Amino acid sequence: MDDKKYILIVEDDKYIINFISMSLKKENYGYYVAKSVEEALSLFYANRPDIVILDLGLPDGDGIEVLRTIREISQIPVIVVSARQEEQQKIQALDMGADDYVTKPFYMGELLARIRVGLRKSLIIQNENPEKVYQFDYLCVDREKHLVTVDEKEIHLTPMEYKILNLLIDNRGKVLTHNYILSEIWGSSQGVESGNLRVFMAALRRKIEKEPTNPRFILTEVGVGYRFKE
Amino acid sequence: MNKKRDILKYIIRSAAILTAASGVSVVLKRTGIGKENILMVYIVGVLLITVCTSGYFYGAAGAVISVLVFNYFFTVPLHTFAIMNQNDVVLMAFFLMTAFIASSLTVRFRTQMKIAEDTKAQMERERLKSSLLRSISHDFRTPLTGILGDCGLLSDAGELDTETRKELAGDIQEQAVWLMKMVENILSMTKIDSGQFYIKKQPEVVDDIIYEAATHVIGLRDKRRFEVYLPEELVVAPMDGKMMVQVLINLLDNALKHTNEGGCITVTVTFAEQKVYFCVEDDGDGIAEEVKSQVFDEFVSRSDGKEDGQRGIGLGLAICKAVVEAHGGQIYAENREEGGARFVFWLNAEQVEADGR
Repeated sequence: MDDKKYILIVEDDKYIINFISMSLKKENYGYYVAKSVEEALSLFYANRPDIVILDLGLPDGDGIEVLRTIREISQIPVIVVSARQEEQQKIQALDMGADDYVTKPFYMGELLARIRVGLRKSLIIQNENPEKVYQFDYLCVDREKHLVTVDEKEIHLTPMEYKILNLLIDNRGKVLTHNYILSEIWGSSQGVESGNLRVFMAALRRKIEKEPTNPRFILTEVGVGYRFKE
Repeated sequence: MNKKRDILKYIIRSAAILTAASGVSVVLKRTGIGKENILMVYIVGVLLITVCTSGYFYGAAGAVISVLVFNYFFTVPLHTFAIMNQNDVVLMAFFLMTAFIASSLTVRFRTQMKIAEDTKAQMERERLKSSLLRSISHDFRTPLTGILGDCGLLSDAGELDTETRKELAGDIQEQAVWLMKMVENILSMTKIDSGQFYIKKQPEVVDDIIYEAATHVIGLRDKRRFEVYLPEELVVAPMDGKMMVQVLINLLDNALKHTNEGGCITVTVTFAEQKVYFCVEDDGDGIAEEVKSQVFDEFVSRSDGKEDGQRGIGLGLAICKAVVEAHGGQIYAENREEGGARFVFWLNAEQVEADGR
């Protein structure tokens, strides 16, 4: 069986295509290259890649369209690549189900790391089997006993903090936008100020991180949201 | 609202000037001075009105009222609007003409002055813009030349050993990162220049901002001793997160640039009287006396030939100042007594109870 992973690169700049594809080849991934929305969709349908790297600014339309179509039929990981001017689109893409994003300019090492996280996530989806106890480095969350420990010492979390932590863990590796977290935790992003969320996050971080200003688990994506790092 | 207030202000001014002119006229009349000269007093009054208000209207109205007042109080028969002497008719007619012409000239003159001022401001902006572009293109050319040169060397890689190739690639990366930072700074600058409209304030937790900034400064944690001190309670401040991160990146980059390997850089956050103070300190060589008063000006930079090959077009601190001030805060720079520089800025903020309910 061929267990080589295939990646669909949707990007219109030939230099970027060049170095991404070279790096992927070096890492022993297979890849397809699409330079437009249309091409991206036909390649996606024809080859069913394992992960998609999606540039938002495409010559014949918005990368968001590609994402929308993919999400209609598949939950495969999508990593959005955006330039800084496309800030708002980036958040929109994440809200629409993109898993992660990198901002141009980015280092290939960073993109490769995100690809690995994405592929691991697709494995988790395949054998959906919710665990009871999560152990990440020095942090342990026991969902059965409702127990959170740091270095085996019990940490007291408020119900809200516990809820947020679990949401983050369930979506680990993925960037969760403020809106998404608000609607998951409070049921709606209306009426709850995102400032409140930031306060909860900072409080949670101070409880589970050893170095709150250099966090190990809860990473802030300023202006976008949060990500839980395994 | 403002317009109404302006109108009221102008009416009061005009009335005051007319009253004063009338007062002077009464005194002059008592001393036996002729009515022709009294009209002169009113002409001065009308001109003053034109100067103190805006537009033609007040001057013209002032002139008409002046004539009526003059007619009523100073021509025979007194205390009526009737005119007996033909001389008076001619006098008043000429007065009106003179007053209208003089006031319209004044208004026109003032319009011209305003246009001239605007042009001057426009020219100043243009000058700044072109000096920005000049220094950008100059300072971009240097790293670009470096990158091109390194690439040329790499592409006939035949004679190069791995070590050298790595070194060249490292150089390219360093120069590209520098260019990237410049682009970020220039983007921020244009954002500020196009007005506060683009500053989207949201409540941000100070911890996040510092973390985000620190991760973007390459070499901060591994080549320097970097320490952060935060207040016990969480501090939240309304800000454009991205831009405030940029401010801290610029300050930290600066600290990095002016310290040696193994030097100490600290960020201390304190909270007092609804303000959050960010204090970035280093134990480097401090701020040179000759640039001290103008560190925050655009295009002021000190290249002291540090071996890192650092350079700058002096935009970083100018952006810090602009961003902090656009947020209603202030930024200062000073040298520490024990050596090194200290940059402090404050923003309006509040402390929150983080009990998570």
